[in-house]
Amino acid sequence: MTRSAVLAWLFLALWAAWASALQGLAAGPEGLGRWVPDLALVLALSLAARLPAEDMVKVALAVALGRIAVSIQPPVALLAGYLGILLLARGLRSVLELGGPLQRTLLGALAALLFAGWLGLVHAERARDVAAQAVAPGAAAGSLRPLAAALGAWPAALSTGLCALLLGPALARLPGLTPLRRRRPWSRAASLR
Amino acid sequence: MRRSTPRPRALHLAALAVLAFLALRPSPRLEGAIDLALAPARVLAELAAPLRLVRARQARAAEAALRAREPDDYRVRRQLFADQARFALPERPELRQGRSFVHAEVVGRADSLDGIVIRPESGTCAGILPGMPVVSGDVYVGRVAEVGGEDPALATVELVTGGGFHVGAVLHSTEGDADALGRGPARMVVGGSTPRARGRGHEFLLAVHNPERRALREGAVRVDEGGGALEPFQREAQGFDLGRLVDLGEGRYALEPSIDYRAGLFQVVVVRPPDPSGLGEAPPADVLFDEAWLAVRATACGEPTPGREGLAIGSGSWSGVREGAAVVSGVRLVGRVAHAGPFGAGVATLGDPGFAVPVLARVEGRERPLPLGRLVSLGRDAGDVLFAWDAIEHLDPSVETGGAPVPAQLFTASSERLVPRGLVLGEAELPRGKGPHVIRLRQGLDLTRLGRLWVRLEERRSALEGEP
Repeated sequence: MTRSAVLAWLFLALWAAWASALQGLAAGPEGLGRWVPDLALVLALSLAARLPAEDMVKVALAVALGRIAVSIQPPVALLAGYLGILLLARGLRSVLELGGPLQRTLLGALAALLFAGWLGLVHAERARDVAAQAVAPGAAAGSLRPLAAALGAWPAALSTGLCALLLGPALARLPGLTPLRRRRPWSRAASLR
Repeated sequence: MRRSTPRPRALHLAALAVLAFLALRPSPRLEGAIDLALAPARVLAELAAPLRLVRARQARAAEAALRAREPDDYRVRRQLFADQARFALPERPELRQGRSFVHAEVVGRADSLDGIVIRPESGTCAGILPGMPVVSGDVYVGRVAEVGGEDPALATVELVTGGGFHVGAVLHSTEGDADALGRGPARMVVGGSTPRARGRGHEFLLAVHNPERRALREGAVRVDEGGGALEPFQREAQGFDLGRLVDLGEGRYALEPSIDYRAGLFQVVVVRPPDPSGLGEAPPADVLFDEAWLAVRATACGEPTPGREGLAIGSGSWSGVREGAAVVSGVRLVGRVAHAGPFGAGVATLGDPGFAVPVLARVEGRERPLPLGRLVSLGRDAGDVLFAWDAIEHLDPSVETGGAPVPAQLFTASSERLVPRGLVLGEAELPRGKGPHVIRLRQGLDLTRLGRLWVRLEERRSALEGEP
C-alpha cells in the first residue's frame, strides 16, 4: 500500500469521526432528534459503490474507527455492524449499480434500519441482565426490544436515504479520499465483481 | 489479475460471524484486546472534539446553572444523610440499650455467599469483628462474615436470606406469647429462603426451620439465640425483628421479611458491645471529597445512534476508569461509564434506555427515605427521563391527599461500589400504590452539555499513581 493510500484511509477515518460527531451534535434535544441521518453510513455506502470489492473491509474498519471515537456503543458491535452492511453492499453490487439515485436512496434507508436494529439487538442483549435486576423488569426489558429499535429508526432511515440521494456522490469526493478512487478505476473494479 | 476469490470472502464472513458473536456474548478478555487494537481511535476523538465548540455557549450556561443550584443540592443531600442515619438506628429503646452502633453503607453484593459488602461511614473497619449483628432500624439483616479481606475499608455481611445462614428466634404472637397449654414463646431457627419464595419484594419469604411446636399463631418473630455458647455477640442481636410468621399450610411456616433484601437494603448499622472508650463513632467521611475521583473532559457532543444518549470522555481504563463508574458534575449524577477503552470511555447518561441505578427518594411529608430499588431508564421524553418503578415499599394510596402523586427528590442509593450514595438525580412526582408505575424525572438541567466531569475510581488517585 502506498503512502498516499494509507493517508487516504486515515482521512476516511477522520471524515467518519466528523460525520459521527455531527450526528451526535444534531441528535440533541434542540436538534433533529430521531431524524438525524447516519452520515457515516452514507459515506461508507457511497465509497462501497466506487471502490474495489477487496477494499470493503478496509472501508468498514476506517468508518467504524471514526464512529468508535465518538460513540458509547461497544466497538465490537460497531465493527460487526459496518462490516455486515458493507458485505451486504458488496453482494448487492454484483446485481445492482449502487451509484444510481434510486438504488443509493433505498440502500441508504435499508442500511440505516438494519444498522439501528443490529445496535438495538446488541444493546438489548447486553442490558438484559441489568433489566432483570430492576424493580420493574418487564417494563425495563420492554424498552430494550431490538425490533422496536429498528422500527423506531424509520425517521433516521428516511433521512439517511435522502442524504444518500443528495450527498452520496459528494461524500465520496471529500478531500483526501481521491487516492482511494484513483487507485483502481471503477471500470476495472467493475470487471472484477 | 486479482479477483475477489471465495477464500477472502469466506474469511470476511467468518470475521463478521466472530465479531457478531462477541458483540452479543461479550468476552471481557477478547474485547479488551480489540479495544487495545482500536486505541488509535482516541486520536480521532480529539480531532473531532473541536465540534464541541458549536455548543460551547450552551455548555457554559449548563455549568453556570449547575453551580447556581449546588448550594440547594448539597443542603438536601445533607438532610438525606441525616434522615438515613436516624432511621438506620433501632427505634425501640430496648434495642439501643447496652449497645454501640457503627453506620455503614451497602456498596455491593458479595461474590462468594448470599451477602452484601458494606463500608463503614467512618472509612475504617476498626472495632468491627466477625459475628457482629448487622441491622437496619429494628430489623436484623445478618452478621459480619469477614472484615478487611481485599480492601481493609470493607466488610462482608452474610445475609439472613443466605442458604447456609441460621439464627435462633422466638415467636411473639399478637394473642400472647404463651400458648393454650401455658408454654412460653415458641422457639425456631430462621435462615435462607423458602422453596416457595418467588424472589421478589414481599413475595420473598424467609425459611423457618425446626419450629418448637407444630401449631403456631401468627406474629412477629425476633432474634433470640437462647444464650448458647456457639454464637458470639448474642446479647447484641437479641430482640431484633426478623419478620412476620405466615402459615404456609400443612404445618409449614415462613417469615414475611420486614425489609426488601433485594432492592431496598442501602444503609445498615453494625451492632457492637458498648463502646468502652466512650468516644463513639468517628464522623462520616464524604466520598465526594475523597481522592477517588478523576477529572475528565467530554470529547464528543453526544451519541450518534438514534434513541441512545451518552457522551465520550477522554480518559479510559489506563487512567483507572471502569465500567459502571459514576460520572458526576458537582453533586449531580451525569451518567455511568458504559464502555471503557484504554484511553477513552463512553458514558451512558440518564436518558439512555437501559441505564440502571439504585435510587432512594426523599418524599415530601415523610421523614423516612423511601428506597425505590434499582430503576432502569426507559429513555427521555420531552426533556424528562422516564423510569419504570414497580413499588416494593410503596406510598399508601389511602392517605390524606387521596391518591395524588407526591413530590420527591431522587438520589442514588448505596449498593454499588462505583456509585456513591446521595448523588442528586432530580425531582419527580411519585405515584401512590404498588404499581407498576412510570416515574418522570425532571433534572432541571441539561447535564449532557457539560464539558468538565468527574469519574469515580476504584482506587484513590495516589494509589494509581504509585504514591505512598
